[in-house]
Amino acid sequence: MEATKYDVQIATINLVRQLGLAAIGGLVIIWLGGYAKDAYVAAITKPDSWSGTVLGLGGTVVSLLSPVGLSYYNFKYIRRFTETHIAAQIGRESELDPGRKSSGLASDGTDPPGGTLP
Amino acid sequence: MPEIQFLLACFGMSCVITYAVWLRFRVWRFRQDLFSIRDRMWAEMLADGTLDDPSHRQLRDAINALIRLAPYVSLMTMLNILITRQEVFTATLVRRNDLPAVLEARRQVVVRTAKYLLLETISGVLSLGLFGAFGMAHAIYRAVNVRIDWLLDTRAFEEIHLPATASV
Repeated sequence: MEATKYDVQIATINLVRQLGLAAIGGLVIIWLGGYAKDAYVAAITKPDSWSGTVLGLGGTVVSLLSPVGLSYYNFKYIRRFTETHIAAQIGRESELDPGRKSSGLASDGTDPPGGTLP
Repeated sequence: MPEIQFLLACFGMSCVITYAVWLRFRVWRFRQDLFSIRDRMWAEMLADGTLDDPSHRQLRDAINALIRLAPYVSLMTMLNILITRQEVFTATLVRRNDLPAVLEARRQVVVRTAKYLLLETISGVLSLGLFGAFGMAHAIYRAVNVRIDWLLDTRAFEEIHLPATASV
């Protein structure tokens, strides 16, 4: 199916949105990274401070705990549910209801390769 | 204390990275919920022997389109569809005579999509908060629900065929 000018508009809006979010996120990360670096240097040069290793490890754990946890939850439960449930449903539906239409996603719940959508 | 400042900065970075992960995660969750609604409706229609009812087929097509377009569905794209495709809607708008199972599935899709748009992104929450400051949050939430319901009616989502170069 040929994409119309409206479809191109929607794809463009999405692209601008993604680029805008990436730019804002990148700037905030750079600013916070610089702030963290200065605070880290100030902390380890203080005579009665925590050790640099403990502080570094603490910072790494604080930074990564929640995104890694969310990614793990997504991979472990949501994606697995989609893969197993949808695969089972496809078989059952195609047998009992051959006239039905599907979403067009790949059988593991991901988008079709090459960025093409049916 | 510089130690606390350092940890707070790390926490801030964590929030930004988590939000980036969340934006992907919410697409999976949205799709999963739509799959569940679609499959529950299908099972009920199968039990009733009404799989070929037009209202079921139409809503299933709309849900499939929403599943496919999930990464593209945002307040901005919805607004764009509502503004630019007026003529398509008036041409294709049909009155429904849906079965109870289809009506319930439609209600669930509308509520879930409104939640996806308004409660699962910073922009959605900020918009709702902004209108909430003027006591209009409920009215806006209701208006978004009505528009989504209307878009499902008009087959607007099925009409969208994104270009091959679009990245998801």
